Amino acid sequence: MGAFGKYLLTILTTKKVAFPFTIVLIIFPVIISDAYIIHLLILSLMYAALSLGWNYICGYAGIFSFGHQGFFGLGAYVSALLAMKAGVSPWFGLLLGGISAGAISLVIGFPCLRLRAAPYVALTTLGFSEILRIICMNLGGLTRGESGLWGIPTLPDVALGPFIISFAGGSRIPYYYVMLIIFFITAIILYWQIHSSTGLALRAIRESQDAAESLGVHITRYKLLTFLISSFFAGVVGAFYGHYINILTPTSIFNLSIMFEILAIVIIGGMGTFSGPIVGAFILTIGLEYLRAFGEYRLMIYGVLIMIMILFASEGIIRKIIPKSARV
Amino acid sequence: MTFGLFVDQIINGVVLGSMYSLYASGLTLIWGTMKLMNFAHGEYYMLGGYFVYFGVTLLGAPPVLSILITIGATFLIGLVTERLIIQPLLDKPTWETSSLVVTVGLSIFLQNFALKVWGERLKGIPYFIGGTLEIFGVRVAYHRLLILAVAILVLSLLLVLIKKTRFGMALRATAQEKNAAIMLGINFYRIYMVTFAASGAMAAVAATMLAPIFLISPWSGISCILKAFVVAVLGGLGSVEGAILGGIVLGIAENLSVIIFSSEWKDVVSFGILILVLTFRPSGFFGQKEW
Amino acid sequence: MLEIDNISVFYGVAQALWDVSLHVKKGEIVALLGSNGSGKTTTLKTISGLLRPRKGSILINGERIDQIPPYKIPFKGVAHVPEGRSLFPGMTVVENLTIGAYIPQAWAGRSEALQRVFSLFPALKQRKHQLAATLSGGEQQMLAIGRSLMAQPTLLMLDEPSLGLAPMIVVHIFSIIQDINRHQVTILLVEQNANIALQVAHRGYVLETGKMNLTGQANELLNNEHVKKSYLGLSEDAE
Repeated sequence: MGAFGKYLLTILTTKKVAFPFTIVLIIFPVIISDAYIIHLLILSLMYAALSLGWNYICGYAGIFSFGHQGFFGLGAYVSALLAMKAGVSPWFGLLLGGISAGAISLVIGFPCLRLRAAPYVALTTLGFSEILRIICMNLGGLTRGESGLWGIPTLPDVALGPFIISFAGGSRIPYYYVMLIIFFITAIILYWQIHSSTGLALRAIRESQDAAESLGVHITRYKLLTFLISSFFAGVVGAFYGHYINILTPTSIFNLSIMFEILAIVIIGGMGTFSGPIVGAFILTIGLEYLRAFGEYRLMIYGVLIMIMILFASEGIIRKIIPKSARV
Repeated sequence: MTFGLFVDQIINGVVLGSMYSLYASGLTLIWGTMKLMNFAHGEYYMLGGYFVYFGVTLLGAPPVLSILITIGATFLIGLVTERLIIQPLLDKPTWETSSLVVTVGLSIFLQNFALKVWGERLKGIPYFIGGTLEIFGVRVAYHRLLILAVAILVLSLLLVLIKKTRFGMALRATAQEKNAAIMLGINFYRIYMVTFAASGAMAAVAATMLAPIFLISPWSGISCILKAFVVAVLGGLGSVEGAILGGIVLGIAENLSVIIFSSEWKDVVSFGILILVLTFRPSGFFGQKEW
Repeated sequence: MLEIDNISVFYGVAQALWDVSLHVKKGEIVALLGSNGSGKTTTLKTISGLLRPRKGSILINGERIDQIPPYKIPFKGVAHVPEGRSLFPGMTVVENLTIGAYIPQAWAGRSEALQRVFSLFPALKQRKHQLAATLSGGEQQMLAIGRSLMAQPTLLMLDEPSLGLAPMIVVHIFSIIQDINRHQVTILLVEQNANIALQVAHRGYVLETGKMNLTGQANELLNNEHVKKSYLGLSEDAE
């Protein structure tokens, strides 16, 4: 891989290349429409959006949350249940999934206001996520617990002039474009936030909360705002996922392994960089699938790869390979 | 609620809690000494379960020997893993996060290794001692009393080690002021290696005692580490005495809560306690003000 | 006994020491003077192995020590009392002293070493089981020095022993330092308080912004115009 790999990564992550990358993402399904590959890309986009959000609270605001999967799962269940029990359109469900995740995040964010060290924040957020999981598991009457919430409605058809885009037809391409739009919105809003005064305030908080406070930075407001934004997007992605695969179980959707993957993506890609989580998401999601060739050894190799990558590039791939000026 | 039920739950709480104390002590000790949040801690517990199972069923060894073999094996594996994946990260500035991620990778590897090699069918071993005893009108299995006895033994040994031996003093010195410890000739690499390995071995001991009660699977480590987190924080990260007290408190609290709520909400109680502690008193019982 | 040969030391990309050389003969007390940020602490840290010189070498009795791991330095008979004492706050006076005798060659004789330190510092004996964090400034300094003596060092390095201490206590500590020297311990003394340092030292060096500027016999330096203006005037204000 070596030199070519470095070149490839440089292409993918410099400012000049973000645009071509975007174009590729947009036209890809026109060229290759294999359902399996589209599915992989959808997953990659999902993880890219989730990881961007998590990187925002951790890499920029310094809040080492370990409960991102909780917002993801909550959004999924809220949207699915609203659609199934209250007949709410899944399009609204996406929004409501995000909003409910955002609302809960304010509750979860409260203890994290005082806590600063990584393990303390990690455990608090993990605790909340686990509580959400157990609640979903035990409220069987509502969620059907571990038996699974089956038959979640797909996204309703959309009429674009004379064309009708149907999500129930079995093709994944419409879902791909929906997720692509969600990803772009997430990326754009987070990029804007990071490069605005908010981002500056967050970095000040991350470097030294006390110093930032003495300079008049309103810590509470910024911390809660970051939580709100990133969890909102996690909730939207979760809601999307529910309507995409049409079945949910608490264990699969509130799974710690989702958090582990986000963690691996961000750290390997480069925490606190913007393109790191995106690159990392695609590498890890697609890479994980390629490992299927190894059959039962797949996840073992995944674990080993994570260890190896951290040992040899602990500051993240993006930082190791791309000079600061060329990064997005 | 009868008095008998109450006593039964208290005893169960203490017994289970003593195991919580055992594996939380290891986790908190690693944090206090090297500021590492070991996400693979549960997997040493899981390995312990498998090793004792193999000792008893495959080797046909008596429980005591199986337990000793388990301790030795997990200790060795701990030494090796610390040397291979933890030590290289020590000098880097990204320690706090990279150490966490590398243990996550290890955790994924070990869980799936166990799944591939030993399969996902649950495995169990018979009780070490059969029979029951009557306390306050409640029947208590001898095995449960054995669990408590082993916990007391191991934890006492740990406290003696930390407080009275040369190694223990070196460990505390390294944890409190690393540079000053280095200047006294303390090889902190070795301290870290032994502490890490010992912590895993203690979790393995807990697994050997609980194996007859809870069955062994590749995922046994998950519930272990989640409990260990809660107990360690409750006791105050870095404090072994805190973990000991915290384990007992959590064990009793959980079991008493089962009387009020049903058992499926048990974990909500423990996570709820975790969040309350972190919100209102992050340093737990005996922890430092380092949050 | 101690020979530092043209060392250059960096903190990352920032250079802290430029071609610094000094030597300490057996049995001497040598003072290393300089203002804040001049590199005095950096020099001691480099001798202790916590920093590595990018250029140059450090020798103890002819043997190079600048490339060995820091925890092996005490085995060469070197003890370092760091700036700010660096006691183990959660350990008692006795425990702090005992761990001072950690290295195997000293561990066996730790009870005798403990008695010797207690006779040197009776105040510590009175507070045997008190936590180090609860001692006064002067007592902490005594404990730090006592701890460094537990391994019977032949070279003792002290970083700013007078820092934060009342004048009377400083005088007391320095008389003890002289006492220790009379018991065949070579001493390298880093101090901002040039006045008292030069009164107990045999020779001195003056570091300025990472470069060695002056050296000479202690009484020569005391009478040196530059030293008098820059360091002796300063030190009077500090009291």
